[in-house]
Amino acid sequence: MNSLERCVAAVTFKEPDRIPVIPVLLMQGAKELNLPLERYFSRGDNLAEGQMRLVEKYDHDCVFTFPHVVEDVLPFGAGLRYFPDGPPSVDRMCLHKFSDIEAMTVPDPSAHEQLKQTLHATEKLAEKVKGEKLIVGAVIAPFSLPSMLMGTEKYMKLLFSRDGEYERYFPKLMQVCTDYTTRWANLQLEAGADIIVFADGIASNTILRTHEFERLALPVIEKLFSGINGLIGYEFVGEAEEIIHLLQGKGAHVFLLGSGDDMAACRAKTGGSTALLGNINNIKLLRWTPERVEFEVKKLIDQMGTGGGFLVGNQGPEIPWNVPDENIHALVRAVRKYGTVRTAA
Amino acid sequence: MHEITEVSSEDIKDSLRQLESTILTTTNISKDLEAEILHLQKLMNRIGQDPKESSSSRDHFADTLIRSQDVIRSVTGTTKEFAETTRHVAHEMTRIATASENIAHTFRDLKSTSSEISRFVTIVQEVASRTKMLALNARLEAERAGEFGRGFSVVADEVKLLSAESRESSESVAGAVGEFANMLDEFEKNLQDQMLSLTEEQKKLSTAGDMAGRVASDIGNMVVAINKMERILSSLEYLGTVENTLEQARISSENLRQHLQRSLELHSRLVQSTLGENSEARPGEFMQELYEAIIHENYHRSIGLVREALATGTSGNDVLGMLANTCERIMYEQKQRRLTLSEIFINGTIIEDILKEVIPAAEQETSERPHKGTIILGNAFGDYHSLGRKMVGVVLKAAGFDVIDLGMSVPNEQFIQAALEHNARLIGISALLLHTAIEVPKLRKQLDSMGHHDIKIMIGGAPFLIDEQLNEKIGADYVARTAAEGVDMANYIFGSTQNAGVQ
Repeated sequence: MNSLERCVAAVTFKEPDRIPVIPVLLMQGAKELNLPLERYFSRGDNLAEGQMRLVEKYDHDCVFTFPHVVEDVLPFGAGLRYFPDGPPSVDRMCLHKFSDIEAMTVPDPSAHEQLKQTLHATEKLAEKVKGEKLIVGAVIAPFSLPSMLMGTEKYMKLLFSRDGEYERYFPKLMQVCTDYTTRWANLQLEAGADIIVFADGIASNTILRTHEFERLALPVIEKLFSGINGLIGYEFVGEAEEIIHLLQGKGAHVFLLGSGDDMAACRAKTGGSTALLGNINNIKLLRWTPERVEFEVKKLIDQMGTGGGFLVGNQGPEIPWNVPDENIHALVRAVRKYGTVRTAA
Repeated sequence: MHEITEVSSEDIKDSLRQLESTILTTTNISKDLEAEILHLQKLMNRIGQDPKESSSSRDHFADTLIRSQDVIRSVTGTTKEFAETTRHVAHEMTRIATASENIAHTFRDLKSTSSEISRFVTIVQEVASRTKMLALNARLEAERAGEFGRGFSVVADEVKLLSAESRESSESVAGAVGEFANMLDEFEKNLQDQMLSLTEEQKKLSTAGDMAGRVASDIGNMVVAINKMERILSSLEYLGTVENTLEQARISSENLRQHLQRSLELHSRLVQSTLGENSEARPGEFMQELYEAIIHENYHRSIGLVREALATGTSGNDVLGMLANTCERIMYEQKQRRLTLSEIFINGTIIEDILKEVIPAAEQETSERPHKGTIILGNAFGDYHSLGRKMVGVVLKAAGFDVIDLGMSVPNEQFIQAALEHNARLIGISALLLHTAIEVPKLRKQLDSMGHHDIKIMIGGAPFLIDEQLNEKIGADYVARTAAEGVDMANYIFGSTQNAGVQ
């Protein structure tokens, strides 16, 4: 099996030759090209070349088409601050008061230069590895996007407003964000991505109680999924165990889980019908030795088995800049060592 | 009759003053007790966090075991490889031996702290006995006062009962601390035994690498060494049990504090009913109602209660004090379970708006507003995630601290300037983005180079929840994983005995 076949087998609960390994390597491409992060992020050619060098170096099962998901806010007029050793952060919000929502329109993702570069990287990667590696695109989920447009505090004030602001502004806000993310995801699929991962940190059980998730986020997620023309990955970016069953059968093909969740328990909650990807602790990768990484991967595989429905990866959003190369090698090597299906070999 | 009543009233007042003083002393001691337990837990965390003392322990033990197991497998391969790996294992064992010595050193600190706690428990028990005596005296005074003292008599009985409960709680703390001390002894002995054995095996192994001809014997030595290392790993896992016991001690002390809190409430009621002070506000009931309104997220009821209390003559300072107690109760309960950010946010916004009502009232009344100390808050430079920081600010204010919030993306120089300007001993930094937390070690270094070792840094943010040992790399003085922990830490840092204003 090649990487893509392996991933598809795992996602469709057929037994792969080995468990796929999906380390989320985004910034590391800049190291391979010896470029400062901001410059690396700014060109689609850089992103594609960086990803190609990374798969050559680590031989994992996927490539990533985007520099960072924060770029999704740019077409709305938000500003980013770049760092030499980490992903950028939003430093200029574009919604300053709730009434600004009334004037919102759905921006065209393909009209923004940075997002054009992402689409260009997707096309370049599709030219090189389509059908061989899993090509992964990503989008901030519509329910979570407003936290980057107005700030989490203001967004929480809207969600839990006492003076009718929620009823007045939330429907319009979600309509704009859902239309935008749907369009942006489908553009990436058209450019050659195999799967779009939706990162939905504000919807997770770390942020919302279960009844709040059902009331506020779930309807938005269902609407989103219904408009996507390809494979869907859903990343909780927080605790999922108590809400994961609510998303069962709603259209996601893979759930990406954090290190705080018990993978086996989540599998039980979903009835084993949606594949799970996770959940190596990305922050601990900074200090673990390669032996410890191997130990943790083995533990995870012992827990989840090799029978399909499971992909090894790190928890989101990505592997930090300062994680040693040896640990990334150890992660991939350990999956090869312990995740190979003996009957299929 | 009138004369007798007056005399009795004076006697009762005197008893009440003694009672109040005793209860407050006990409350302060119980806070010391909690602070000491917090300190003990911090020491425990050092075992789990300090790279020198422990990482060379749990993680390296695990690593070495994996490597050692691989060695056993590879021993059938080349002798050279075996010899090299043997030397490596010997080297690792040296590291482990060093780490074990460091752990032993930390354990000596732990034992010392545990003795200190025992001392506090003894004091609490003594005070509980004194409370009981005072309650008996109060009962006698009440008898003398006849009809007038009937209500007081009932309350005096309750005080006596609470005194017994306080004693019971402190005994529970004493029991847990005693058990903890025993565990420490057992662990220390175990550790020493293991270290001795390890040194012997280490000597054997250090020569093993050069003796390729004695492979079979070396394998035997290695297996023995690995078994010993596995036992040490198990000993380290034993720390988990010790930690649990410590947590039980903490909870017992928390119970003690709650009993004392009830004593204070009772005392307030006593003052009102016996001395006839005219006030609609009944502190115990008010706090219970406010607590229920906040936890049920009833914003209008919460604000309404506070406005009503202020309007009917309760001072702003008293309301602040009662709010602090209510928040403490809410946070204590929240610490017992997992919370979502939405819950923290909703409670936080209610408390924030209550503070907006109460603080101006308190400031108008007097300059003696409860003041525990000043804390500087801000997001690390480059970090623009304000929500966590604001929530911590709200609960710190509610707990009686003055908070200077510098906002998002604060340069280190600004933190220092604000700390010096406001004479703050604590800087709280929020960092959601991992790479912004790197500013913290720089800040520590800057403060130290200026001689401000006494200004402490407390850090919080999502990455510190994902890896509890992350601070090894960051080097803040304290890590607060939740807003409630932030208050605990602040209380600890500023020292509960120094907060003279909080009474």
